[in-house]
Amino acid sequence: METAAINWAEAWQVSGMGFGLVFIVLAILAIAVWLVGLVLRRMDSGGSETTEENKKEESPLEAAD
Amino acid sequence: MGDFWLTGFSELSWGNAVMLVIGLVFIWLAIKKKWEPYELLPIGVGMLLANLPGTGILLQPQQVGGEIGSAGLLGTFIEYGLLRYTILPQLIFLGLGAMTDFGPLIANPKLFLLGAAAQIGIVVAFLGALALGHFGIADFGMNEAAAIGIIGGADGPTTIYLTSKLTPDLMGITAVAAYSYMAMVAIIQPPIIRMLTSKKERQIYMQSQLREVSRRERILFPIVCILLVILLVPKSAPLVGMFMFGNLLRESGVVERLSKSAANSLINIVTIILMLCIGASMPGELVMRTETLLVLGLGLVAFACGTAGGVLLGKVMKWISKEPFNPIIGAAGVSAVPMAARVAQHIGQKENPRNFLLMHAMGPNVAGVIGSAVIAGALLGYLS
Repeated sequence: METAAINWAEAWQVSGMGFGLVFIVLAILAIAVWLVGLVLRRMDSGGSETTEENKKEESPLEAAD
Repeated sequence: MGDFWLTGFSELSWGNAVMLVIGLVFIWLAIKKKWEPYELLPIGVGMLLANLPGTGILLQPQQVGGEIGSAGLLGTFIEYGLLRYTILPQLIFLGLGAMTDFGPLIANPKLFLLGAAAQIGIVVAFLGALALGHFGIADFGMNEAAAIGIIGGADGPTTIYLTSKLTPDLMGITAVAAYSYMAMVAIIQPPIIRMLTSKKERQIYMQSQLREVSRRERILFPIVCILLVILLVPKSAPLVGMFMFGNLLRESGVVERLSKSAANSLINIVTIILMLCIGASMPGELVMRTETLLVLGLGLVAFACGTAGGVLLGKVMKWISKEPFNPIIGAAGVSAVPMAARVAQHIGQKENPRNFLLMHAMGPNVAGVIGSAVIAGALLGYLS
């Protein structure tokens, strides 16, 4: 059986780096998505806390009326 | 008797006849068994048209020197839509993005890793194809091995895109293999999942309620993906860029007509043309080559290894996760959307009727689409 000249070093490099790159890229993406979600949730909860405080401040004025 | 030589009968070879039968089988599978009908029906018809001799429908403009009126319809689509500019798979990805809900993935971003793990099948098939080339069993070099390996990504448009760039000769068979195995996900995956997991693991209950994902997160997700992924893997831009553009059309909520067109008329039209072209890329000579069977075999190995890779990482995540984590959903990392997620749901519910894993499994399922596009971009970057 004739064997063909396959550059196995290059083959392992391509496959290893390709697979590793997928993991790295998707891991970075996962972290980025998680961070964006965290920041947006904090912004939303900060906004709703401010609204709650405003409502509490208005109540004594309403009671006086 | 002289008229006989004007008909297609005189030029019909045994290879053509076999491919005609295969085309008819595909049409039967699509209509009777409802196996991926949107793909297999036009592929089957494309096979018939490609193997009925003397039609001229496959003549490409470059083959007839650009002579007006000489090129065939399918030949023109193949040359300009696939070989020269790979327009069709990119437009398919645009439509797919407009149809995809990334909510389950955004709600639980660690599921991205399951989508990555499932791409191991691509690597296994890539090395397997090279081994066959090394021992002289088949004439597979690096480009052919990459085109065969990408079948393991279980993503038809990605397979077509990469193969048309690296080895156009294999485009038909690799695409047919990818779509056929996607149709057989419910047959291929369950034995592998059962082999790699215990009954107790399969019964793990995951809360069906996912975190609510805000509109702003859904809008930012495709933008973040475009910026990050393309900066890291520039050659993935055609697929990832179109995929995320389609998704942004959907999630922005301000271009409903465009979103509806992308998710309906555009993808339907492109599917018709692309699948016809894929079927038409399967001439009778393919049957005569041992490489065809080897490609099909390696494609199956790639699929199986991708499933195994996702499940095995699912088991690791189960061990390290504080919350209950069912490793079955790792199998959905192969990007056969939504069939692989449905398989996970079906097996999970069979083992534990309380379990509703579909939304959890959709996370790795759609992550796998991004993963296969990334690895295709990486392979293209190294090899082209």
